[in-house]
Amino acid sequence: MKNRLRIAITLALQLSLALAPAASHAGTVVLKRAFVEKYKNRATADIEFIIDHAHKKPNPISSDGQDGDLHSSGRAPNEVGLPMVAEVMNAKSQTAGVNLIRQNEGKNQPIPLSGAWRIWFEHPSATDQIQGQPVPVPKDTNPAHVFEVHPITQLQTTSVLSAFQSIPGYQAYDAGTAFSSYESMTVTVRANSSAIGIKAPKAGYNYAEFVMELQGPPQQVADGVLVLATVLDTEGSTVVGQLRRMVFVAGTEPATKVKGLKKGDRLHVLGIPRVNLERIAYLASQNGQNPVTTKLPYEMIIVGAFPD
Amino acid sequence: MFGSVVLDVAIGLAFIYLLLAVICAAVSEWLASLFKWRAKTLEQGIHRMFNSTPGLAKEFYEHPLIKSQAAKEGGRPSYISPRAFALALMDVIGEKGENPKDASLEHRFASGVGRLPETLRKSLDAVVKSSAPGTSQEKVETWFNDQMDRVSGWYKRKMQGWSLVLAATVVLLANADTLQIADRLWQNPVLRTNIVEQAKARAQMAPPPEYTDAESPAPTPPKPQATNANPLLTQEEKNALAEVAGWRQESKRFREESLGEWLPPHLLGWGLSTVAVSLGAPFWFDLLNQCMKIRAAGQKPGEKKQKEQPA
Repeated sequence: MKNRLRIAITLALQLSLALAPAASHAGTVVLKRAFVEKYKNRATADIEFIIDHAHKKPNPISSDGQDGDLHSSGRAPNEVGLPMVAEVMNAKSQTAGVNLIRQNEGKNQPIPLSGAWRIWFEHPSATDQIQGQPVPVPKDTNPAHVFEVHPITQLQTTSVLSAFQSIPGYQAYDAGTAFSSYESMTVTVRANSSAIGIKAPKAGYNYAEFVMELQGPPQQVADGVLVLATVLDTEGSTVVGQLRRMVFVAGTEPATKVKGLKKGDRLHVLGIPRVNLERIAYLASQNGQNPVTTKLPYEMIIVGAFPD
Repeated sequence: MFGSVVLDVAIGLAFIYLLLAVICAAVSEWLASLFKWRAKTLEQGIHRMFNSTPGLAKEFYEHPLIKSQAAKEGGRPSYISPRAFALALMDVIGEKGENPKDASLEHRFASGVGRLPETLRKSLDAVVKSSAPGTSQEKVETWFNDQMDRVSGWYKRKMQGWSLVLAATVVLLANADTLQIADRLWQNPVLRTNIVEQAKARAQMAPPPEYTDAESPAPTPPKPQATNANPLLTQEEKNALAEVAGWRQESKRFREESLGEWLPPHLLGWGLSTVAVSLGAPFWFDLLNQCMKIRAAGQKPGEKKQKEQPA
């Protein structure tokens, strides 16, 4: 019996060691249920953001991470309570917004900031990120984080809504590459009465260019428009035939365009993925406190519409 | 070796029970929706709350706030929010009072309660005049929530009864005889390995939470339904089920054996399966996961290494 126990413990240790490298590429965020309920059908979040660090100038524009965004890191203890960053899209054209970020960097004073909330495991932490626990002051503009406000829509009274456009000169990921990655990701959801834990592997492919075909009517929500659509590449071939939710932020050019569309219409867009909290809440409600592993539910924030 | 065979047979049985329980859950959900069991149980609960006061339930269900909660025009809702219940009931009762229509809802309700039959008036007086803090509307909402806890209990008991009937039906249709399945798994190592692999896949992956209604990008979660893209059972699972159960292999035995020889062991096997399947899919899913963990912990290092090598 003792021998068997020793073998079991040795095997468990071996298994842990074997899985350690894989685990280092995954991240876990534990969100309060109230937060999930509040944001699951919302496009944006309004927060009081303390800007700790910001880039001196926007990213250059070519491809991959050189996307023309301006990064800032900071804290929003009241509304978010997680390590986070906030990014201005098309920053070169958003001088007023960028100046506000630069002026408030390092002042330890919260400023009102709004934008599309985003949970994505692009920079996960080795340790669990638990909402509501004290968030340390980040050391640079890109701390380990899964929560972002990206793109920002408003800083204090300055609107940055006009940033929601395709990025001139930027080579976005093609639909096939980006969506193959999104569709292959898995998630483990573990819930209790007050919190929902989401564990997912490291993700990427921020900006994807694709064509969405509406499968239902656009639905107005408090701060934007939601619509279910299938995904096609720019050649018109179907990439994802199942329904994926598209999120449009109120007041942006893409939101104005989608409002006039109906089932079957197509829109050529630029989008960034985020975890779909509505489906996460659904998973949690269906599985009670049993952990469940399944395909990662994601949705696309539509940040630009191409003119064609 | 002996221990691992026993464990694999147990995993195989748990897996087959899980598949049958998944089928039962889907059939039960379909029946509940076809016969509107939820809506009917809710209606019973509301009749009980109203002490069967003549006409009141009809007026309540005719109220626009309640009518709008039904899925179909003219249908009865299977869910009513506490707020809608309180507002609709207060409005309906308020119309029976003497206060003018432009008076506040609270005043009209208070006046209307006095004109109700004695049993319901006493119930509502006790609810509204209780010492608990809050407005009349909040107190009516609490009253509704309390009653709905009981209604949920009725519904669960009803479904438990049905789950036993459904389990027996599915077990018989599939000829899922526990004794026979265990015997087949015990005797046939290839079949056993195949079933354990299927069980592993089922335990690791839950079906993705896909949207099924394109009209609702912000939906209230519906119960999951099988679609072609996300079937109830995968083709491999259907094949696995057909290999260990089913009537195909039974006809020969039935011809060769007398009824007295053939039936008694089957009755025992079907009975065991029925009880097991009626425990429900979540129970077997958890147990399967636990068996898998034990199996993974007890695997020989050589066995694991061999499996990891590329073909």
